[in-house]
Amino acid sequence: MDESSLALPISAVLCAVVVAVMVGASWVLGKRSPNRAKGAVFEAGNRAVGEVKSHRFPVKFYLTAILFIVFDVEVVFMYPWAVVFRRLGWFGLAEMAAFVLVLAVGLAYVWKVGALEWD
Amino acid sequence: MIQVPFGTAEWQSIAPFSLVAIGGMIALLWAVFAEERPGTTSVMWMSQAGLAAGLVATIALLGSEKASFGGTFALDGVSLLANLVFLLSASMTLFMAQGHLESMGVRAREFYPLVLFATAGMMIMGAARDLVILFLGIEVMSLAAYVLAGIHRRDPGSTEAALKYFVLGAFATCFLLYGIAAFYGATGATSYDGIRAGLASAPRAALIGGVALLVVALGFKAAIVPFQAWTPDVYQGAPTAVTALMSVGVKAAAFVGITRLFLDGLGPLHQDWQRIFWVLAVLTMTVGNVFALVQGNVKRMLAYSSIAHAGYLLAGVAVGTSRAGGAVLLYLFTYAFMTLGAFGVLIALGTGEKPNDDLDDLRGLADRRPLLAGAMTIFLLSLTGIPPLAGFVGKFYVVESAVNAGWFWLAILLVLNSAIAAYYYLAVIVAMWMRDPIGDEPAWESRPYLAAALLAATVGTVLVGLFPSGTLDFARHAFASIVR
Amino acid sequence: MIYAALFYAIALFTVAGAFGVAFSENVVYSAFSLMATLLGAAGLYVFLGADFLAAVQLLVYVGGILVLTLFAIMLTHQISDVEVSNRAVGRWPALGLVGFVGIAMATALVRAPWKVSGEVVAKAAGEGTTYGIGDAFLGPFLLPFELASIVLLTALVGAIVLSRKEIRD
Repeated sequence: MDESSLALPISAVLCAVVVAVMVGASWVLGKRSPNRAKGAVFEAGNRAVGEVKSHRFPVKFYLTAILFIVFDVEVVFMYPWAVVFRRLGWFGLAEMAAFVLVLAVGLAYVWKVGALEWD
Repeated sequence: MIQVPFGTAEWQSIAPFSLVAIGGMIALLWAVFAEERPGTTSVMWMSQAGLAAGLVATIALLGSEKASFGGTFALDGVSLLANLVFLLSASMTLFMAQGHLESMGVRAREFYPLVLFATAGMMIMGAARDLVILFLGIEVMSLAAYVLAGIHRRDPGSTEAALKYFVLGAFATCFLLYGIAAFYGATGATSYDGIRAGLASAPRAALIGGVALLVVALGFKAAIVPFQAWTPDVYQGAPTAVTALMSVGVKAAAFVGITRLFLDGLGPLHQDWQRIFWVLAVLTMTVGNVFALVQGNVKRMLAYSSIAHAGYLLAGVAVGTSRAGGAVLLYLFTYAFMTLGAFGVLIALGTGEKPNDDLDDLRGLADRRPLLAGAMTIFLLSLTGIPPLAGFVGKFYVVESAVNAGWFWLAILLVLNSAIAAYYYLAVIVAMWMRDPIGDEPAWESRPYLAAALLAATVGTVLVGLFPSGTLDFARHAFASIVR
Repeated sequence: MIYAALFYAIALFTVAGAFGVAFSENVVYSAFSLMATLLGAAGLYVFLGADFLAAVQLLVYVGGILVLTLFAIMLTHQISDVEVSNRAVGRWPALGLVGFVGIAMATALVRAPWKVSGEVVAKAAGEGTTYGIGDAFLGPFLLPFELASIVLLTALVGAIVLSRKEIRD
């Protein structure tokens, strides 16, 4: 076992220790006082309107997250292609172009439908 | 430079589903980009054009038999005949949905492209000879189907259907992935050829586990007992045009997938899975028929009846010979016509406010709408299996292949189940022709496309019943090359 | 020796996260325990030599799916006090069934003589798995690569159709 292969275990242990100290210290030292304000619905500063059913969490957050995931997965597919594309030549380019084209149709659709507008 | 395996065989094998998928993409863009908001009719016709392109490709390729992508994607009689079934069900769904969705208040023009994507997924499943490709086909089809089931957003039944279908479907996909992992670990490959090669030296426990997991996953999609619990609620809640697509297209795709996987990829293991399928087939037929007997709502009854038909199909798969495979494919073809027709009639009965699909709503239909009642009678008689209609042909050949292979009990139980099923199908016919109508006549709308689709379904049901041999020979020949 | 300890630590972390997901009373705690499970899974991928997969796991699962889960929880949090009316079989029979299946599967997995693919591991240790995956995308897995784009497109369209504002025209 040479030195470079000790790097991972050492960094893992150090990370664990640092995190444990940070969280553990705040747990032990901090006071816990649950009160109604903390348990209420998160509303980014505004006081939650009384009956929860009358105010719904806006769905655009969820839509943004979904769009992010789909395009993130597209990028993930691009990573392995990117490291080998030099030796794949024109065929590799055509293959990735087809992949991106399908998702470009998706992007065009999403754009035109207005899902990228914030309000 | 890496040697690239992409030649004529590859282009030909991907042509049908690619054309459908590209058609879907074009229809999608058309639906959002055309200058004024395009009416749904134009989107429907664009989608039909996509399906027509796929049809042309399929017909042009009839008779080919090629292995492509290293044997992981097939181009043979089975995939082409399956494509015809899928394209037929998608096309009829599009015609039947036109007008029906608007009257319910569904404005989403993406319905039509989504049907095309689902169809592309089905076509991928029909030709997949690799577990990963099968999985991707299932996912494309299922994602589109989940959304289609819930497309009527204002209706809680539709939302419930989408949610149930999605949650349980995602769970089934987990089983599928575990099964694929088990087979990969056991045999070192995911392609059917690779699995066959690795079966001899594979650890038995992993194989049995893998088979069990795959049966669960595919059984869910095909609505086989004991994985059928979602079917009645999902079929009843979804808009009826979507139910038609699910009941025919999704089921057919699941069965072609099952048939290819077990008869081709896992053929050497047939001692193991044949007995499982025997038991599941009998259970499925019986449960489907027994529950259908007590339904008061025709749409739900048809859902249970489709479970029963899945049982008959599974019986054919259990027999496992190429004769039986051909019979299964023929059955799917006939089943498509009659089931699409039956659901089409239910669509015709619905108005904007009420779906009118209870048994009481069909009473006296013969007085008010004789043509519709006549078409429904043909479809129901065909579903029962009365000659000379299509349904009889399908069942006959499944029974014949079972007897031919020595599975007498299976054949007997199938026939008995058909007799039980006759009761609830005939109950509807009796209600339509021999009972008086209840209440006022609903304000039915005129829907020409739906009428055309129903006419096509009626003609198909009668013709395939009278002249089955062409399709049968083609199907049997197609299977002969698969079952080794 | 140290690797064994590290493996057990990561495995414990993952399983603890999984227990947290299943048994926590609060849905948000479940979501964060899911994060622990996914992080642990990424660590296990590293142990298996699947470097690319570990990176993807962190990027997509922890960075995307978990955020999505949290948004979904915030969208539906008011249903946590809904009474579940479908009791199914109850906890003890479920425990029995799950336990039986779990033990059966574990025994099968542990005792099965799995094949070990020597050259894959060696190649991964050499240039990293990313190159191998890239080569695979143009060779045996060309079709799945292209099909994945259709899956993503369908998911995209589906998400929009189900969650956008109703069209009024």
